[in-house]
Amino acid sequence: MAKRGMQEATFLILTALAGGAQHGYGIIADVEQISERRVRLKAGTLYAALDRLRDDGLIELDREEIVDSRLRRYYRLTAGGSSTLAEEAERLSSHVRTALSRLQLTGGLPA
Amino acid sequence: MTDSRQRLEQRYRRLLSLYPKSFRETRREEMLSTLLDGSEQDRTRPRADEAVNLVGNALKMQTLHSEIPDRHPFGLLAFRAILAVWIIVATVILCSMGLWVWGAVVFVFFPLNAYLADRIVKRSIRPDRSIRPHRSV
Repeated sequence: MAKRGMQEATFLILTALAGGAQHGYGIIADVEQISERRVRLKAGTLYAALDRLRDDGLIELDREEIVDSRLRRYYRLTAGGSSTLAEEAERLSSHVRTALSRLQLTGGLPA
Repeated sequence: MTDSRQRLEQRYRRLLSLYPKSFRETRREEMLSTLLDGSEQDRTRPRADEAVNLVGNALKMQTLHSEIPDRHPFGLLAFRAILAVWIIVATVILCSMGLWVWGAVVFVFFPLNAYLADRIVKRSIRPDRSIRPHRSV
């Protein structure tokens, strides 16, 4: 079976971590910024995704910190995570190129 | 820590208690930090969308992480009973936070959903039926 595209939330989480290790709320804030405030991850969704990504070997624990008696775990991309994100980004940008060039051909692209 | 912060923390803890034990043990404190980091200082109740998202994800983990004993009739009965209690607890927690509508949604639609899923899976197991449990979208 052909490999299915990555979910947008997963793509954005990996993109957030591509900039360096981050903790839970750091990822949420970064994803909000990357998506220009369109995507605000909820904690339940984030931790389900982090669990899955860790099981798949795409991310790993970077370090733990206690700030104001609160536990913060930082995550980072693994080598596999980086290459998976790169592949997905390439796949998406190829789709974007095709869409833009076809729109140009049919005059559907606003000037 | 301020009083309102403590109240908020307590309410988020109650919601997190709906997750499976193994998940709670490793993730609760960390998730709590993330939830509190994302909350305004004067907030005393969880945001409705966060609360509902936690309940939904907790249910997903409860059903996915547990070994559903499909061969043993008593095991299946026990699983359903646990799920029924879980739904009641989730409803009570949501209602206690003033999220009445969401409490009602969980109380009515989660069992309905589970019932329908059960029916579809049962039908699909029989070879003479054409409905399949999973359809890729």
